[in-house]
Amino acid sequence: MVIQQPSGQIKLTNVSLVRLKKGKKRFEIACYKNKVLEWRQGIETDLDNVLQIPSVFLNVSKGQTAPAAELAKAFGAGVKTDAIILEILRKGELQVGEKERSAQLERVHAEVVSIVAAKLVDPRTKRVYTSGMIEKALEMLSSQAHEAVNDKTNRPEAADEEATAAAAALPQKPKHHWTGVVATKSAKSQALEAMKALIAAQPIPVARARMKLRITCPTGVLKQGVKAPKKEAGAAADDGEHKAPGTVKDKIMSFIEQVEKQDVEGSEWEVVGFVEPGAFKGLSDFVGSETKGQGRVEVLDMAVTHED
Amino acid sequence: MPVVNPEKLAKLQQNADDVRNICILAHVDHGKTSLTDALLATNGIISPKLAGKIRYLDSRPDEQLRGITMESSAISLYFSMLRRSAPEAAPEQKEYLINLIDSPGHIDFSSEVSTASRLCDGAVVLVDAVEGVCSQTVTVLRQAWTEKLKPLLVINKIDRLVTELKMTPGEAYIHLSKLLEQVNAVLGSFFQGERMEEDLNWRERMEERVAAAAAKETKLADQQSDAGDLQFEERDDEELYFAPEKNNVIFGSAIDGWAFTVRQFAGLYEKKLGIKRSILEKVLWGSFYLDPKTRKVLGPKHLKGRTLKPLFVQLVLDQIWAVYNATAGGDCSKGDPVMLEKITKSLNLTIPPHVMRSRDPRLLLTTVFASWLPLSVALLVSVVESLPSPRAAQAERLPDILKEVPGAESVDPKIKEAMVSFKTGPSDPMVAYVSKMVSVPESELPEKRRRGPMSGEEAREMARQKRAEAARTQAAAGDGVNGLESAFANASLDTPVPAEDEKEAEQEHLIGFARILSGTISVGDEIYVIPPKFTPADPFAAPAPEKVTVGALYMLMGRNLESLESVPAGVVFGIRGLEGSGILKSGTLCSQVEGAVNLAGIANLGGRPIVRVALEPVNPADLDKMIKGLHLLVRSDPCAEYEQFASGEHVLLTAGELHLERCLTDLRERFARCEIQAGAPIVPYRETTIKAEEMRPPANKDLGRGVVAGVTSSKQVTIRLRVKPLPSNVTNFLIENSHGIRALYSEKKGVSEANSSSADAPSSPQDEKPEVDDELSKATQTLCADDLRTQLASHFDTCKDREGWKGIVDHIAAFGPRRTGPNLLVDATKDGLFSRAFAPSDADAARNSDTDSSAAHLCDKIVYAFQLATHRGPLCHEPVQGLAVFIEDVTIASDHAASSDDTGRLTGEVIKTVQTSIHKAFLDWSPRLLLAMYSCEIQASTDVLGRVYDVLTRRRGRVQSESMKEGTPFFTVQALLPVAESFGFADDMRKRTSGAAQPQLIFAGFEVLDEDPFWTPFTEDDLEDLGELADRENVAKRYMDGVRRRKGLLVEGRNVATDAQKQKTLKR
Repeated sequence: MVIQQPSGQIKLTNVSLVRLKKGKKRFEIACYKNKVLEWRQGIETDLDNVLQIPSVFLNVSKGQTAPAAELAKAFGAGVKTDAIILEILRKGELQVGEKERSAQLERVHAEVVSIVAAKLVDPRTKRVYTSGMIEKALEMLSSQAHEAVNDKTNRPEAADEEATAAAAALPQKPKHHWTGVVATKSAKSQALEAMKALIAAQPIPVARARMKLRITCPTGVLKQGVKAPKKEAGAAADDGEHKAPGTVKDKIMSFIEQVEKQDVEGSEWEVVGFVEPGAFKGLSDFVGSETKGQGRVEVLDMAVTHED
Repeated sequence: MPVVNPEKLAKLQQNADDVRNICILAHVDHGKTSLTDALLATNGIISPKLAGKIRYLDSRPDEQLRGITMESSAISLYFSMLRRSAPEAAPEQKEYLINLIDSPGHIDFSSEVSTASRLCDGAVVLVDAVEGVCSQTVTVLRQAWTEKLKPLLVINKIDRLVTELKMTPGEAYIHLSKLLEQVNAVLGSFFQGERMEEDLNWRERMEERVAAAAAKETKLADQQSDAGDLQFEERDDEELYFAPEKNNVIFGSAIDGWAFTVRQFAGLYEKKLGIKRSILEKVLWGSFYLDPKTRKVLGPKHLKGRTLKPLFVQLVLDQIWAVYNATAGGDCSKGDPVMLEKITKSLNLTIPPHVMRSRDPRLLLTTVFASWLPLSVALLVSVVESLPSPRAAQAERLPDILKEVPGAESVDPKIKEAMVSFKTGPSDPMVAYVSKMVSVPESELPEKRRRGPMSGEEAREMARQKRAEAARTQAAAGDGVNGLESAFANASLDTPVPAEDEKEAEQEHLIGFARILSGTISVGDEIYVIPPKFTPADPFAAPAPEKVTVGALYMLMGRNLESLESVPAGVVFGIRGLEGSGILKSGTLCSQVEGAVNLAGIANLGGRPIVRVALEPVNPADLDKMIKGLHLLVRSDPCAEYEQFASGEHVLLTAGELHLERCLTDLRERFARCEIQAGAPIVPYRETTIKAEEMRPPANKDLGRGVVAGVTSSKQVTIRLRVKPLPSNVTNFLIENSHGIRALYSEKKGVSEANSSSADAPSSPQDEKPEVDDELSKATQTLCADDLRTQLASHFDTCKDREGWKGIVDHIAAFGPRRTGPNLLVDATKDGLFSRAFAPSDADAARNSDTDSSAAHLCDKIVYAFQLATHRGPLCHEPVQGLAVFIEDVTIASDHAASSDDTGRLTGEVIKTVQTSIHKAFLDWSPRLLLAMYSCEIQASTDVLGRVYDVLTRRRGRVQSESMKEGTPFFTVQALLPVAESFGFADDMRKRTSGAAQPQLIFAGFEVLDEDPFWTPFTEDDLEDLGELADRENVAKRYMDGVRRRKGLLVEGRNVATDAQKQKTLKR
């Protein structure tokens, strides 16, 4: 038994653990806080700035270093400790530091807001909003959502009384909620959610910026009736009204909100117009299937906003 | 003093010779508004006791709170005096109307000073006796000089010399004469500047003449006589200086309510000394002494070593000092009752006993002075005597002004005549100048109030009713206690924040602040509003003058308005009914359109606003309110401007920080009525890439620099593209001609339309061309497609690497971003898949329909990806410029025949691949950030020049030129300043130079910052010098990271914890 003397002790503070399970054993290394992600991103290149002590542990808090035999068993014989450490650093599960997490969330938040700001316009003026405005609007939404949750949990008896009223009101309530960003989903998908929530709640008048499309189609196809669509059978109830027009042309025109120009050139029919981005996929699929590849949908502008 | 009713004032307006329009100008805190107060007291508008404290014309709450004036306001005063028409004639009572405009002194509100001075004929310039000439004093003196206003100098706050500085009269005299010299020196410098200019002009003219004469010397014999009258006219500058003996200097103290001119004292001493008044007037100021034995006035030569006090000290200042000592001076500043009695007796004053008994020495002081040397008399007599009446002033000023008016030669001579000779007849043309618009809440319009004069009793009664009413409405609103409280707070003067409810209902009306120059205007008249860009040479050009009906006319009485039926020439008045006329800030009203004069065109409002902030409502739902409020604000403030950017920002431009604050309070409380916050506006950047001296080796050695072969994620499509920086002259050409490129697109469309409709297609582009041109702005000339093409080709020819760009113009497939930008997509594929920008469109159509290969189908996707990639660059998602993208090869793997099902999926893949490939290739060169730049012009005197440079360099500005203005001590510095560093620049500059330097900022385009944002030392020398982490800060990276952080992009570098071991240890 080695006598523990103050001068011989190594005490680790500010430890952030990286664990890796391999060969039915759990290995740990002791790192500094907020540095492992940077190492993984390749920003930090100095290993000494990441690792507190260059040895592999079975349990850091107890100071149990991993015996060489165990390491050899799990990682294979002849693998150096440095290589093992690097593997653990690369693959192991880690505790994300407080600062790292907040920095990441902040970044995702800013990205979501800037995506939303670029895609939403004021429907009256077709001007975009600043990211500050969007941020505030989203904040309103999320605080509302939180309040609603709190109300429900805090006042169960009140909720009972209002249960019937709430039940009646529930279906009208927007389905899309916004409760702030999370780090787990991609910024793009969160931005889409945020946009839907904003459009549903309308804390400020917003609408998706329209796409500008050019659709070309041979005139021969235009006059044909829409073939009984197998795909749309599910949505038949809704499409019932829309089917009344019948021809391909009418169907295409029903997608387009505003026509900029439309003309026939030889046997080609061409229309340039603005389309709600959500409808783009449907339109593109429809044109593709109806015209068997002869018609084309061309994106002229992803998001049309007012410009001076 | 009796209250003067408005009817009387209105009657006085008719007699233009007895009207004086004056404005009060001075540095901030030199006592303009206090002086006005003293004048108001004479008309019974406020109590004389409160004069100098109440600051009646500061009607805004924040003005009262801060104790400075922010808006100029006008008031009409009545003044009557005994006047001899001839020296021997019996004095007769004459009545005068004085329209007085109080102006703000703070530098931020200089625009208000300009508007005020435009309306007036004379100026009263105040100078603080202690502080002397300050920066704004110079500015207002210059203003008066350029506007050709006759100035009157008031040396204010002389009481401070007595009570604060404890000067003896002798010292005070020396101090005052020095001060007077300072002021005159300023005037002298203006004069000198003008004289130098004249001299220069004269020289030029001489040379011209000599040259012309030399040419026809042989013919002209009488050349000598010609040259004879070309002698330079020396002008006498004696006229323009201030001198007490000329009666244009007044000494006084507005706060204590006294003032005097030398003439007044001359009158007092005429009998006592037995010296003629006219002589005494001459000698009372200056080095003249009174021989105590002979009782004769001596010059300094005859002094013979005796130490005598100058006359001014002996006769004037000593007396005033004595009064101060007797009333407020002495031990424990209680005054000296014995001496006071002596003084009152000798001055033949009676002081009411209750004042004598009063414990407040100030009351005693003011009472003595008020009866001995009342301020209003001294000032108003001087105003009436030495400032011109509108008739005289217009005759003097207007010929010069009319010369500078736009399109001066086509102004109707009848109008000119009427303006210069001041015709007031009903048939004469009416011309009025509106200098600014004021927003007035509806409840303050006289129509809404009761008519007629209001006695004090009635006023109190009304106030009580109002209070009760407010209380009732608020009690009804719910919170009775709060309501009452705020209603009472409402009524008191010191906390004038009005209750919310009341304001909610009130509507704002815009009232024009105007001066009529000729003719007569009455309610219901139909007049034309001449817009600021109007020129009489082309009277019906858009925007055409609009016809409006005069809604109402007002006499401006500070915060009150009095209705008028009609206004004759020479009067300052308010006018309602201009709301819909498109008059923005200043404008001209005229009774006819043909040959109308445009006075607003020459108004040089003191500098353009330069402090920009982005505004945002705190509650996003209030955006509409804010926008509406901003429009109102811009109309009612002469110096505020509002812009809306494509980024959705609402940017307010103001003259300074204080002005900004005032604008924000106005917005919050009156115009928008919602919470608004201000922040730094978003700064635009551009991205480009260049060929640098030292670059890292290309990423892909086989392909060469800037070449990337992108494969879509399904491995179906491979696209090889090459990115090359465009030559800078080509980039500039493209930026300048974005209109031309846009026209190119619209023309193409037009051609295809024409093709489909008719057979005679070839001629149609020419027909269509002018139309397109008209639609686009005329300022930037647009080039038609052929010109554009040939010029672009020639630009490519003149650049260095001519071979590389040969014949490229014909291969251009698209411009980007947004299809008009300064980047090119070049088709370098073997079989020319893309449609060409400069090819006739029918060829396109033919190719499109012929080549049915699926590679061609991808073209529009590639073009779109190019647009996207250039719209958001790789550095920080800002637009790219100066990039040429060559699509070299598009191959589709043959085993996957692109079926129609795939196209949807392929679209996304191709767009993504091309976009990332372009970005990757972009970064293979040396990327650069372009900074938005302001060109900045600063006028500064030599003593602050160093500080100007200081501020400029700290904000990464670059001085371009510096030149001395001839004849003045001023330097003009031209500099370039990054927009990113300009937030707070104006304020900083003013603070550092104590207001002596005034910057002007104009957007000057983008400039390359010659630093790679990704640069780290990699050559051996650099590594040795700077170390691995580059000790020097990379400025480009700082800017880039700023934008990235804002947009939520990945910011490279250690942003969380730089040093692992130096993090804070948290105890468990």
